[in-house]
This record gives sequence, C-alpha cells and structure tokens, in this order.
Amino acid sequence: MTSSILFSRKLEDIKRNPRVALSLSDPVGIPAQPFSRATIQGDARVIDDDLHEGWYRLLPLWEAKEPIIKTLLKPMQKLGLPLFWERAIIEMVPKRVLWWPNGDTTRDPQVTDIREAVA
Amino acid sequence: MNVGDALSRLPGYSHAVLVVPDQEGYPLSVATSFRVVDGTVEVTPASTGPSAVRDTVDARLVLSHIRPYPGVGYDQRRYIELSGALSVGGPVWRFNPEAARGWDEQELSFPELCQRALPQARRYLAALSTERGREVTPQMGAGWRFFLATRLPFLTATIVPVFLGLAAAAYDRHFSLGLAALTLLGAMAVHLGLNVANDVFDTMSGVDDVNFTPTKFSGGSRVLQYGLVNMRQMMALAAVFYAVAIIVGLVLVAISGLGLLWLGVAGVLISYFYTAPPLRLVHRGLGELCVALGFGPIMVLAAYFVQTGHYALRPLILSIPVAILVMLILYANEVPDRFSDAKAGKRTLVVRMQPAAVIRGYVAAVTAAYLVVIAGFVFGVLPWPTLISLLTIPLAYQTWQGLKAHYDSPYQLMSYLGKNVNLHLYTGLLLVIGVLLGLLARR
Repeated sequence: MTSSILFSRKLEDIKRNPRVALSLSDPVGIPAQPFSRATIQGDARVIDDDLHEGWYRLLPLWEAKEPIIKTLLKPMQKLGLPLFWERAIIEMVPKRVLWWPNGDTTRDPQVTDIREAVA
Repeated sequence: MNVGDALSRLPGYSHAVLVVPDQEGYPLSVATSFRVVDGTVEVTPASTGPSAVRDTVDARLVLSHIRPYPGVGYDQRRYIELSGALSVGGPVWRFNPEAARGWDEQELSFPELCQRALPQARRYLAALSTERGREVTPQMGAGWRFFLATRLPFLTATIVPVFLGLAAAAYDRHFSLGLAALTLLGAMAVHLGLNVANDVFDTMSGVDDVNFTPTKFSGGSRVLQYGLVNMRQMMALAAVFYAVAIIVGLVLVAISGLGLLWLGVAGVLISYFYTAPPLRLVHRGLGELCVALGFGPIMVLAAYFVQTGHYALRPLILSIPVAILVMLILYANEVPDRFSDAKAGKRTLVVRMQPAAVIRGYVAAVTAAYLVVIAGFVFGVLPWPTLISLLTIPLAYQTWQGLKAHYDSPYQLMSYLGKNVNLHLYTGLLLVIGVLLGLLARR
C-alpha cells in the first residue's frame, strides 16, 4: 500500500488498467545488504473515498521512509500546498514475485506465484 | 522532454528498468545495464524466468535516481521514461525510443512540478465528483480557509501605518481608544477586501493560473486554484469587507469631519481598482505607487486625522519610510511572479526592468527610506528617538544580498522575501516606538 498525490497520472492509469508491477532495482535507493532485486506483479486499486484523512493510516510507513513529513504536516506548513495533503491510497494485491539474488538479472530469477504459495 | 535530450541524459543513470507486457497483460520489469548507440539504446539481455521478454512495440525503459537523505527522506530525485520498440534478437537487445518524458528536481523543484500538475489534480477531482454524483473538493477548516483566502498575516502592512498615525496624533496630544479601534477596523477591512479582490481578478485574468512558482509571499492565496473556495464565495467575501470598510469610513467621517472623506474614497478606489478592470492599476506598472500611497500617506494621515481633525507635516513625513518599505514588499514579491505576470500582460516594474536595475532600484528605495528618517530628525520634524528605526539597516542589507543571490530561484528567495516583510514591520514599529519615546522625552 502507498498513498499518492492527485497530481499524479498513475491514479487514472491504475483505474484504466489495474495490472501493475513494482520494481525494486536501485542499490542506492535501497541500501539493503545483501542487495537483491525484485519485481512484484499484481492487481492495484485506488482507494479514494476519503482523500483528506483516509491515507493517514499509512503515515507511519511514510514517516519511516521520509521523517521530514512529520514537520510538513504542521497546520501552517500544510497551507503551502494544501492539495498535496489530499491523497488517494493505492493498494496492490501481489500475484507473482520475481527475485534476483545479489541483484544479478542476467541469471534466472526465483519466481513465486503468491496465490499458489498462499494456497 | 524530447528523445534526443533524454538520450543525452542517460549516462547519468546507473541502470535501467526495462518494462514490457507479459502474456497475461501485467508489466514485466527487469533491471539491466545499457548504452546509447546512434540514437538507440543497447540493452544487456536479462532473464525474467519462464515469462521471457519478447519483441514488442510497447516497451518502456525507465531510468531513475534517488538518494536517501538520512533523517529527512530523499533528494536528487530524477527519472526518464522512454517508450518505444524493443527487439530481443542477437547478443544485445535493441530499444528504439519514440517518446520520452522525465523530471529532474534540480531543474524543476517538486513544488513547481505540483503547481504545473494542478490541472491533473483538478481533472481527477472533477471525475471523482461525476462518479459520486456530488462535488468532491479538498477539505480544510473554515478558519484556515479564511486565513488563507484573506492572507491575514499581511495585515501588518495595515497595522504599521495606522499605529504610526495614532502615535503621531498621540505625540500631538490627541488620542481616543474607541476611534483608534474603529480606524484599525476600517483599514483592515479595506486591506482584506483588496487581498480577496486581487485573487478574484487575478484568477479572472489568468495571472494566478499560469503562475507555477507561487511562494507564501507571492502568487496570491491560490484558494481558487486549489478549489478550497469558489469564485462566488470569494466575490461575496470581498464585497463584505468593502461594505464594512465603507460603513466604518462613513462613521469616522461623520465623527471627524469631511476632510477624511477624500482620503477614504481614494483608499477604497485604489484598493479596488488595483487589479479590477477597467483601470487594473497594477497591470500598468502603477502597483508600487498605489501600494505606497494606500499603505503609506493615506493610512497614516487618515489615522492621524480621525484623532486630531486636521492634517500635519509630521505624520506625512513618518508615512514616507513605511510607504517606501511596503512598496518594496510588493516590488520584491514581483520577482518570483515576473514570468507569469508578463505572460498575463501584468506589466509590473519588475517585468519592465532588467534584474540589475530591479536590484539597484531596491537599494535606492531602501536608502531613501532611511534618509527620510534622518532628514526628518535633522530638520526637527521627527523626534530623535525615531532614529532607532535605523537599527533595521542590517536586515535591509541581508534582503538586498538575498535578492541578488537568488533572483532566479523562487523557493530560495522565499526566506529573503520574509525578511523584506519583516523589514517593513520592524522599521515601522520602531518608528512608532520612537515617536512614543519622543512624547515621553518631551514630558
């Protein structure tokens, strides 16, 4: 799950075609050791019934990634760009995961079908 | 972004993510290395297991970079997305890009990116409204919407000259608290009416819609652009403020005398026609003059007249430095707005002049403001304690330096625009204190 600003085209794109993939590929952006790469395919849906507060349940995740958000959430700060704080939630149900140990995509990935794995 | 531009930027990325549709219609993405060769991209073959990558005309190559910024979040955000055809035959795969898009926050700040994408957000909200059968708008408490729509913090521009007029009257041994309160109420109503009307007319003329670099000091309140308030509500709000201002003004004229009427009429007319057609004074390069007159001599002399029933030289001299400094608030705030102003035909002084001339103009005006205080003291019009207003010279210097250094960077300029607002506030309040200290010293 993640939240998205309304300025982004991905919300409309997902509503048009909910089949999506999430790629974890950047060793700089993901400073995890040992580094791996993964692609998660699945079906996404946009939850936009409460743009104003619905996404607050994802705030702990967001804060862990971007601690500055806590400061920007102060009422006076929010006035700077109020529409930034009207957000939709994107929920993705994973279908299949491709995992490349050590990030080496020239080798075959380990492929896991989530539904089969859960069953 | 065109394809050639995008390709020239690819060496700045460590890897690419190739995205193709798989047999079930899901995007199949895989990271790989690449190199640009003669307008195409050679991609190192990558394995995606049983669902192999095949030739397709619907491929994308996504290159992104982001740097974790511990304790804050991320910076150096940038991406390029190329779309085109992929051919997987041979020892390397070949990607022929046909279209490109991207973003680099070092070239286009995130706030500006959001402002440029406002129509997208509006479209989304409109589609949601249609889907739900009711209007979906951004939410904000009524108090905050009022605060934002009226630009309440800018009331310091009114409080300073009114206090100065009152202090000058007190120096001449005239002061009524009730009249002072009524004067402040009327002046604030004109100012808030001006702020709201300014947003209405700037939205009607398209100025605010094409301003992608608003700051908290410039570009209007943007409540209309964000859909927080509608045009009808803003027009009603402006009408209420002007009605209050006119009623209070008439009461004060009845109490103090007809001599106040001309200043009051001038104040309301300047305020309204500042952005309103047919005069649109600010579009004709007269904005600075209007602001200087309205928030300088008109307010100071009116506040003085209400208390004393006559005009005098001292409040007029006192009004000149605050008139210049309040004019400089507008003048400096026009710097980040200059491109959108020019696009909408709003020919402000900053639009008309070269940057170096704008900065020279700023220095000359600030110098003039302080020289008036010194001359007022030298010629015996202003009491000596008013010289404490010169304590703000370092703030003026900092603002000048910031204006020079960040003329082309709206968001870096913002803190200096704040200093410029404070320069007016602190200098004005020190003048008020100086006049009152002069009164005490005279006793």
